[in-house]
Amino acid sequence: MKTPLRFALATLATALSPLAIAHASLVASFPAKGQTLTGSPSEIHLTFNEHVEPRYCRIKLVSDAGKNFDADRPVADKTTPNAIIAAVPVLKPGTYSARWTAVGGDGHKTHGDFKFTVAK
Amino acid sequence: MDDATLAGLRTAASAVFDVGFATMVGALATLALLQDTSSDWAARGARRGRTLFARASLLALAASLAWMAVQAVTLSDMAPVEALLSVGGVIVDTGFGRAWAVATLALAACVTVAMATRYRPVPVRALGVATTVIAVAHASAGHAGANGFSWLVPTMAVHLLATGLWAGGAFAAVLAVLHGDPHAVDGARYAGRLSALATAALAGVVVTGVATAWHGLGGSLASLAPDTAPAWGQVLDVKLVLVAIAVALGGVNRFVVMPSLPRSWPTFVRILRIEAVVLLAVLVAAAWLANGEPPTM
Repeated sequence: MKTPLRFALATLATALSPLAIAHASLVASFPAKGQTLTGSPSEIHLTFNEHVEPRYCRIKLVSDAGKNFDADRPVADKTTPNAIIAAVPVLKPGTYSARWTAVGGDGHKTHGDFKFTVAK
Repeated sequence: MDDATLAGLRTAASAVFDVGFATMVGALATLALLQDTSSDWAARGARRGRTLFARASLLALAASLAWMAVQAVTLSDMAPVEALLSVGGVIVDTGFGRAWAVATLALAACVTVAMATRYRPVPVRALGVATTVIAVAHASAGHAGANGFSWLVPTMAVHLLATGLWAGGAFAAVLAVLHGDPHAVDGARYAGRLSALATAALAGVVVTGVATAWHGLGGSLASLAPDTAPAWGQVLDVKLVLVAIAVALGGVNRFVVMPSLPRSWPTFVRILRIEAVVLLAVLVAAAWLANGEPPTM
C-alpha cells in the first residue's frame, strides 16, 4: 500500500470512529406511514434501529383538526426487538399525525412523526 | 429549557469529560514513562504529573455529574431542580444510566486515590485498572452499548484508551513534563518513549476506528455523502483535517526533530505544544459529532 493512501485511511478511520453510529431512528410502525385503516387502531407499534428505553419514550396523536390525543405510556414489545407498543384511545375517522419521542440506548433523545388515516 | 440549549450543554459536558479522561490516561502513562528515571527534572515532571492526574480526574467527574444532570432534565421534561430528583430513576431504569453509575463510581475512586497520593508515588497499575473500567463503562453508556454488550463495547473502550494515550500523552507532556531545561539522558529517553507510545496508540486508534466506523456505516461510505447532514459533515471535515495535522506534526517530531535531540529540544517542545492544541480541538470536534445528528442510513 502506498504511504499517502495509508496516511489517508488512517486519518479517515481516526476521524470517523466514535461517531459513525446513528441515534435511534424509526424503521417500521403500525399504522405505517401513510396507511389508511378501516377502523381505529387499539395500539401504536414503533420499531427502531436500536434499543430504546420505553419508560422515556412518548407518543402523541394529533388530529387534522389539531386535537391532541396522548397515547398510554409505551411498553417494550416483547415479541419484536427494539420495538415499543402504546395503547391509544378510540379514534374517529380522519387523518392523524403520530408524533413520537424516543430515547435510545445511548441516552440520546430523537423525535419524529408520520401520518395515517382512519377511514369512515 | 429548550432542546437546543440542552443539546449544547450535553455536548459541552461530553467535551470536558473527553478532555479530562484523555488527560487522566495521559498523566498516568507519563508517570509510567518516568518511573525508572532519576534526575530532578524527571522527578519534578512526575510530581506535576500526579497533580495533573488529580485535577483531570476531578474535571472528568464534574463533567460526568453535569452530563447526568442534563440527561435528567432532557428525559423528564421537567424544570432543572425537579428533574434532579429523577436522576435515581434514570440510573435504575436505563442501560446508559447504570453504565454511567459504574463510570462515575470509578472516577470518584480515582479522585480519592489521586488526592490521597498527591505527594507520594501513586499506584499506577490500580489506577490503570480504574481508568479501564471507566473506558468500558463509558463505551457501554454511548453508541457502542446502545444494543447491549457486544464486541463494539470493548473495541470502543480500547479506542477511548488509545485516544487518551495519544492526545492525553501530549497534554501531560506539555502541562507536566516539558518545563525548563531537560536532563540530557532522561529528556531524550522520555521523548523516545512518548513518541513510541503515541505511535502505538495511533495504531490502536486506527484499528478500532476502522472496525467501529465500518460497522456503524453498515459497510458503506454512502451515508457520508455531503448532502445527508451538512453541518455534521462540515465538522467531520474539520476533524479530518485536524487529525491529519496532528499525525503530520507527530511524524515531523519523530522522524525529523528527535534524531538531533537534545540540540533540537526547543523545536520538539514547540511542535508538541501545537500538536496538543490540535488534539484538544479534535476531542471537542469529536464530542460535537458524537452528540450531533449523524447522517441517517
